[in-house]
Amino acid sequence: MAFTIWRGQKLVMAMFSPLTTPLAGWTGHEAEVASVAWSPLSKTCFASGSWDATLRVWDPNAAAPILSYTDFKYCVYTAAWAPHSPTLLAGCSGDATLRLFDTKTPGGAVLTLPAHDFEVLSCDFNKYAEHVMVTGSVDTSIALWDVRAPRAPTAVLEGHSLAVRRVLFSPFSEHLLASAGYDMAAMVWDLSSVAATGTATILQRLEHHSEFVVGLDWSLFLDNVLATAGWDDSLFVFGVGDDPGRVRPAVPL
Amino acid sequence: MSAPSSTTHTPSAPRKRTARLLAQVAPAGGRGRAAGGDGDDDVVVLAAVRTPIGRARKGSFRDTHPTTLLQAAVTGAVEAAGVPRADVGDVVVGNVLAPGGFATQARMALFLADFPVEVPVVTTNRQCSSGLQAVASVAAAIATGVIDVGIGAGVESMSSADMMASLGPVNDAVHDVPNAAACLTPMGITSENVAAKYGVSRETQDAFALLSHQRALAAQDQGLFDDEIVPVTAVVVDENDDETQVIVRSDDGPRPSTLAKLAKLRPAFKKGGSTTAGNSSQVSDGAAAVVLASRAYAKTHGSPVLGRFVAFAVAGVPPAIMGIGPAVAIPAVLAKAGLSIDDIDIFEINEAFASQATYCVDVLGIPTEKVNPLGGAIALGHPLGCTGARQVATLLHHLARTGGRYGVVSMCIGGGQGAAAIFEREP
Repeated sequence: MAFTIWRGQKLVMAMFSPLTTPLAGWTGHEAEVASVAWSPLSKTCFASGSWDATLRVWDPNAAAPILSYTDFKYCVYTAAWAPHSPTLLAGCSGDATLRLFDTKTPGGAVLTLPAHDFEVLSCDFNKYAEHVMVTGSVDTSIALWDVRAPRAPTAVLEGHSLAVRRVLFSPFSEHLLASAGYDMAAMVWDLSSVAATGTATILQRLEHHSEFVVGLDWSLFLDNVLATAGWDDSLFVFGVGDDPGRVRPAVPL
Repeated sequence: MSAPSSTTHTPSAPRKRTARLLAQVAPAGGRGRAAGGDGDDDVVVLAAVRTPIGRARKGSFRDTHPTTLLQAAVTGAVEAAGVPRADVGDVVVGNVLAPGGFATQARMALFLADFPVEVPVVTTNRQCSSGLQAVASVAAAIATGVIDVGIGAGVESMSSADMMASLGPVNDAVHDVPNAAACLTPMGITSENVAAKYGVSRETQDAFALLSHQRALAAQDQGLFDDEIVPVTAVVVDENDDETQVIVRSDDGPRPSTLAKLAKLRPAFKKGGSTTAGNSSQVSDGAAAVVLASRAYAKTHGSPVLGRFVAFAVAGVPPAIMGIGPAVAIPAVLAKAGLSIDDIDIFEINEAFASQATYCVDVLGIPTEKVNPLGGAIALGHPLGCTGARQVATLLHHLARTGGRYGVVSMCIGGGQGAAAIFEREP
């Protein structure tokens, strides 16, 4: 099981087995590490994004990064792997871009998308439509993209009132998206109407947190189960459609 | 791959982290802001004006009360900004020499300038940076939401001031504490100290002084001060006690000179020294005022915007070489803004003395053409409390004229400090 610790200047990604002792750690980033992501398709790859404005690809068996991408002009907030290609990954940044990289292609980004007018804090690949991506920004909007036609988003989802901190497609449905933000809200979006109307429907607006919501994940094993984590010391796990505000926090932290 | 070790942070790391997170929640300032995002939390300058600068005791304002100068500056500023006087949340006035800190005088000056009783005023004294401190204090008050609009001003009448009386009695104990005693070093001697310590020659100082006059005269000829100067109606009393009313429109100080003439002047402060009346700032009278507002106010009211207030820094240096202040304060403010010397198009560095000004410019590696392109205090004069606000006015109008993006205002400060601020031209 993998676990990450956010610890300032160095990347400390520790593998816990099963409890307290880290198996390994990596150093190399020159500022805060904001994100790490295992490749879902390759056992020998994980990626990290850092406030040092780099996106790096690591082999767990090597001390130094395999690749360091320096295209970004400002903090890299999220690293994300494509679920359909073992060599494709994305990073999003405070320089307001989303960039795609192919580890087989030497040099820098294979696609640079000026995604928003403000910092882009989160991005994700759709698990069912390989050209579809999502970004969440400090401009409070969520944008859906078809990377084959990257000039304009296919839809802009307005609903959060402050920066969108995390966006994540469902592992079970092409048309389900979750988002979380500094407005203390988490949202579940139904995207099935996007192709026809260019807009999405808010299935659920969740206001169970009393501080910034900074973490979000879908269960890979149970359909429609979502976890949210916030600066209010709480982590909630609940089914979409449930009211987490009426459910005891699953893990009192 | 190695075992995780404890990490170390530079002392600035937590603050930087906080600032970056803050920029995500309130994305107005900071480098994280992408181009084109005009943040409502920005502090912007709506207007920056000044009176002409008169030579103290001999010049245009020798018989003019400082409240008249301040009245002219704040009136010119609010009118240029198109801001109703009642909208002004606070006025900060820099002044160095007046007894009582100019507090009551400043209140009277605002009434002379038709401000309603509801508009408050405070005076501030950080010596030669007082005018810039006033601007920075207003910017801070706007940034923290205390006020939406404010005026940072400065005024000095060195014609009417007694520099020694402004110090007050000195505690005998300071003579046992070297830095405390060094605060009593005459400013001219601090200039000699800098020249001696860093090897700034008399020739270098005189050449710098000549350039200041040449640039100021050229700027006057081309009318480059017209945008920043508000004319002042002054009364001049002659030797027969006859009063004449004159409208003063330009600075008294700039005059044609030559290196030969400057070289003939005797050292003013120390036998065998290099600091002369010709390569020191002039003793002067003047006032300046800068109207600042939140971006939200400027947008709502359709106000003109000259520039954005980017950052401000002050730092201490040894009192005996107070002139090196800008060499410390400029790097400090650049670091705050994440900018480098190369990013700055114009530096307004106060010419207290040619010795310290040339030292600071050299040690920071600033190209001389970027420094005081319209001349500085050696030619224009240095009305102490006014100077910082005067430099802001000169800087922003010249950035507008030249299309430069960033400008720095900096000065040394008696007692051993430096101050510096960065402005970004708009639109």
